[in-house]
Amino acid sequence: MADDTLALLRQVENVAALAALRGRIDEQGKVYVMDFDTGGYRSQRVLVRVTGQGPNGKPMLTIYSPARLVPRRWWRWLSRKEAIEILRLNESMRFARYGLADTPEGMLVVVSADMVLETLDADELRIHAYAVAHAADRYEAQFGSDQF
Amino acid sequence: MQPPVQAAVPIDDHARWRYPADARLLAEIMASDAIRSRLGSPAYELARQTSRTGMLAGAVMVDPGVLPHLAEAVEGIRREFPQVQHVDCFVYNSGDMNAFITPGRTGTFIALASAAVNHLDAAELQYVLGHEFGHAAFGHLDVLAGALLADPALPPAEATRICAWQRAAEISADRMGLAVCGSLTAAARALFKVASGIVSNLVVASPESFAAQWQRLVDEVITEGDRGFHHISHPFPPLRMRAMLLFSEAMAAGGGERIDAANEAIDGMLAMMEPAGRGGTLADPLLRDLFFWGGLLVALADGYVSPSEWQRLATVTPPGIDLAATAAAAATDDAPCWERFTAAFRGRRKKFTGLELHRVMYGLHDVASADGTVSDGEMARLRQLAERLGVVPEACDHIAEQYQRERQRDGR
Repeated sequence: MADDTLALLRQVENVAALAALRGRIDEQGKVYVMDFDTGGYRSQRVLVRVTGQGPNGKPMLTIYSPARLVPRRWWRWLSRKEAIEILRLNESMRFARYGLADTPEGMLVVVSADMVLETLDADELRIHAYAVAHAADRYEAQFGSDQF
Repeated sequence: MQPPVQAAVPIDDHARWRYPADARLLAEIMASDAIRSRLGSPAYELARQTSRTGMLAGAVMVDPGVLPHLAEAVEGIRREFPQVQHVDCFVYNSGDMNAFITPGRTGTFIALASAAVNHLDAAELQYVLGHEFGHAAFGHLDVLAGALLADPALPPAEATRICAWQRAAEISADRMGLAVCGSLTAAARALFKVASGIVSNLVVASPESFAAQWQRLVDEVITEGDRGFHHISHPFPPLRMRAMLLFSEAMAAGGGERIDAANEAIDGMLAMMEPAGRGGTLADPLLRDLFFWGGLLVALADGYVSPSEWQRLATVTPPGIDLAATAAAAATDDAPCWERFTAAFRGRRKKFTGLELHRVMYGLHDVASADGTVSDGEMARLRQLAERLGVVPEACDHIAEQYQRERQRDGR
């Protein structure tokens, strides 16, 4: 991993410690990984990655959690109705948003939020981490799985 | 040319006049793949040429038939820098008291603003010219920082490193300016005139009073919680003056370890302009008061300050505070320490970021762990301090674990 990215992830680790959130740096995946107990014997993985620069070149972070993988061969399975449902959920969601990410395995429904690392405080990280974890888990639970 | 008063290092021993961080950061920059690839790019070469042609288009060359006094001064200084190839000096029309140096095709160009030529006396001009020659002598012209920084794709960490190097390079160049003009007073006057634009002959700008502005600036920066200085190419003028004063005093005292101590002090001053998180655990100057008063409270949680805790606290003791007397008084009544800690936290105008609060708590763990263990009393004190900062008590346990983990990882 590039030294810069590792240094930034260490800063994420520092704010996470201040927020009393446990996690670890995955050097291979270039992410900071946290696991949340979302209740009802369910759990949700939340990741933080460095996603570029905001105003004044300040490093931006994206905190995200995978909610559902739609394998490529089943692309049609994400129906128009489901896509509209995601937009509807976005409208009423606070502190995060649903989105679709292309991955080698297929289309991934993710819940994510963006933050500026330099001004990130413990409460902000905690609020976003919980919001992302719970929204992703709620979405995943609709399909009866707890893969993520 | 006269050497500075009681110079302990010969004026032509340029390497020893150089501020060590300048050489170190330049080496780091030249070793960076991201920067090396850009130094060879067509865009970089174009920027170099543009800077050169821009000057040729709007400036007049200094030669003995046009400006004899200036041509003579330039030639006199050039002889002190044999490694600087063929120098051409130009004057351009500008009210800004400025000067710069840039590489030409076959030599080096020095450009002086007309305001500098009009308003600086001979010694002040020598300081400015010596400063510019210093840039050339130290290899600063190998990197056209402005062209690199103009690249929006340059990684931010590299941009930060380049700016830190530029500031360190200014300290080296100031030393050569001082060496060439041979007078700290003239150097102070020149620096003051260039920074302020005030050209009156009534300018006194004593080195000591100019340098003393540094502490007032530090207090203001700490109170403001301002960290927006890391992209600035030049150190604060009072910092430059204080750096020259420290160096000059070290030279007068015989050089050697005194110069090392001066360089260390200048490292600490320049750290004020670094982004958060650079340097060691207790190295953030903006958090110094929290480290000191909080650290003293942590150390005294067991009733006494151990020698290793003492060592840590000595690195963050604020100016004007006697550590021994303060620790002795705090051992019987720690209320003033709490007051100072709280004042340092609440007195700041800008909200503390998560990274800053983590750095404070991590630094306080470092003091608590200095003697190898963190007692229950110290841990309880850390939680109290965390509460005072609005940090949840559980964070103390996380940071304690993190501190131990990183200590093992780094073999500390």
